[in-house]
Amino acid sequence: MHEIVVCKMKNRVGVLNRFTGLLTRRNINIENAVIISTSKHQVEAKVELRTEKAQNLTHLKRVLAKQIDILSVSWYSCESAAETTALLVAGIEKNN
Amino acid sequence: MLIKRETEKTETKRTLASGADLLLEALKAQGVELVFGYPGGAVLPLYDAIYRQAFNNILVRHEQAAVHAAEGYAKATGKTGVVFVTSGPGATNTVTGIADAMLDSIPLVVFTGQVGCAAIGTDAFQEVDILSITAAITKQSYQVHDSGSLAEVVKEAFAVASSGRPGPVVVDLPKDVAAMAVDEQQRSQTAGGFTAKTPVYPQRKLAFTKMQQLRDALLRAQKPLLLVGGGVIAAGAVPEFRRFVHRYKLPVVSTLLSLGALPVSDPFSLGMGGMHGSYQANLAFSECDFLLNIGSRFDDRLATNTSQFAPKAQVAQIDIDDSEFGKMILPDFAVAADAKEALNWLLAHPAKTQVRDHQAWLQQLSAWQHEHPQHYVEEKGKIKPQAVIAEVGRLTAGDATIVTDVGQHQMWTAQYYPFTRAHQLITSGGLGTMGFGLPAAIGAKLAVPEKEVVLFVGDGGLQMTSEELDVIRDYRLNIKIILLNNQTLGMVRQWQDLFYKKRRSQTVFNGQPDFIKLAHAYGLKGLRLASQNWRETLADVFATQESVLVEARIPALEQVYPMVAPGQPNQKMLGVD
Repeated sequence: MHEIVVCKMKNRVGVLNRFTGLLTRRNINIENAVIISTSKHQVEAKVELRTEKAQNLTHLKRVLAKQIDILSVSWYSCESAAETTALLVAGIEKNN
Repeated sequence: MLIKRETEKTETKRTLASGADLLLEALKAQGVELVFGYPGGAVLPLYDAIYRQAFNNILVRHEQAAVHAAEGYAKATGKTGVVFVTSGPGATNTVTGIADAMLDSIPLVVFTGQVGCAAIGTDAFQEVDILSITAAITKQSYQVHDSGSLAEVVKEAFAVASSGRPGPVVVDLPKDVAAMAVDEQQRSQTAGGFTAKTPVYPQRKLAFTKMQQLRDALLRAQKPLLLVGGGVIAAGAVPEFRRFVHRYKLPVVSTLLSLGALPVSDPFSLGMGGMHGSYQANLAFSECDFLLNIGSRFDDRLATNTSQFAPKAQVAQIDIDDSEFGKMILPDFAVAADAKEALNWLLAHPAKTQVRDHQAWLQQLSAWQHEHPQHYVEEKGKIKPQAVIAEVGRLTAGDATIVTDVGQHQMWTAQYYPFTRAHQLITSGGLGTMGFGLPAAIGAKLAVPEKEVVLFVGDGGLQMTSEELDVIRDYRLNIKIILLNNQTLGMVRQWQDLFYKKRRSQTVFNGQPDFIKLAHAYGLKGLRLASQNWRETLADVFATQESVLVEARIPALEQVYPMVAPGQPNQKMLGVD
């Protein structure tokens, strides 16, 4: 299963460090990532993860959501790598 | 309250205000009365401001101890503990304490010195990236690059540390920012208006329907059980909790961190549950048909086997942190709420049906308690640790502030001290940090000087932070240190005996320091209990108003029982005969 997590974050030093640290301690790797600035004070990270542990993901979503600098978290499950890439690219074009 | 050492001089003459002055003013605006700290190169401007402003800094002897002392202070009061350390090794020495505070949800703000902004990233002397190092063990961290933002950062740091689920925050302060001159406008901004907490989390409305469903299910239960966690104490909800217990007639199991939320003597108290919990508490988990958990995180030392935990029960969970729901156990009812708010709701919204008295269930629990009461075997000519703790409980009428280190003595204290009030037990629960006890006792005594403060500590843990005995001498604190010396790393030795065929690898000390002489070296009283008159000696110790290190030589092979082996269900207890 390919998972895409979309996080809106405050544009602060170290915010991605916190985000990736929560993945690292769960041994979750990043397959693809797109990070763009959406306004002066915010960035949006679209990150593709590959993991099989469903319960871990539920907990991870909630832990991400409670970070002080993470403003919102949404989650998409994709059937294939092609679908995932399409979603990530579409997101970039939309934002452009 | 100004705490000063005898030799310290204070110069009150003001010089030009700096970022460091601004920081101290921002702390005063937050109500901070004292900090625990240790100076160094990168915090010279900060310690200069402390000198000039006569700010209360408790000078510890190691930075790890500063954090544990701040934890003790925070746990004893519910206030936020504050730490000052220098950069590099000063900062890295705080890591264990910060992790400890994170796991036990203790509000701390740790200010770490940093090299000047221009030198950051150059591997400068005593430079370390403390924000990255502590990212996984803090709620939030900041690096301040401009004295103009200092007041705002301090305000936010305190709000983050103390609101929601409390925890530690690191503020990294480059030396030049602390030394920077500030103008009058910045100072006046700091002085005014920073006492109110910034709401970091949006106010959450209590889910009325979910609360109704939870309450109705609770009232339908034949064998309900209440599990109380440290969250109830952190929320300041102990009075509401006690009213709720008696109104709904619910038996209560405590976690290690919630001991004191309900007095041990309360008829609804079943004591502590989990790995070294009481017989009746662990059987209650296995037999209850409804389990309401308020403010506990189903830690693995409590729910020793999550798949077989409370197998007959519907589980309800109230927690301020919704990431706890389903982390260990999936609840049937989950309400994300502050414990005080939820308990007030339950008290204000009684159901139309009458509260059951649960007579048969309460009688069953009582029968289990009588079948297998907490017990130990007295041996002639030996001093038993359980007896010492119970005797201290008697001498202090169950009202002392009790601090422990980590290991067997910690579990015996949880089992045998007659706790009566919240904020009474200060112990390292989640991280299990040996060396926590002595500095935490110092922090606790400074927080509640009117209370008798007793530290129970083992010979392993005392040797990890024994340098802090000098702080007790320095500030003339009255702390009774009860050293339960079994000359081994007792808890690890217990596991080796039970699960590693008694291969006692590196757990038996080959000789030890003379702890009485160690106390004397620090200018403190020290004495060793003798088996024939130890009770009288203890009574004499508690009649004095000064610190005493009391060594009790206890049997080396004494075990902590009952014990649930790791991975076993709660009802499978060893040492219950």
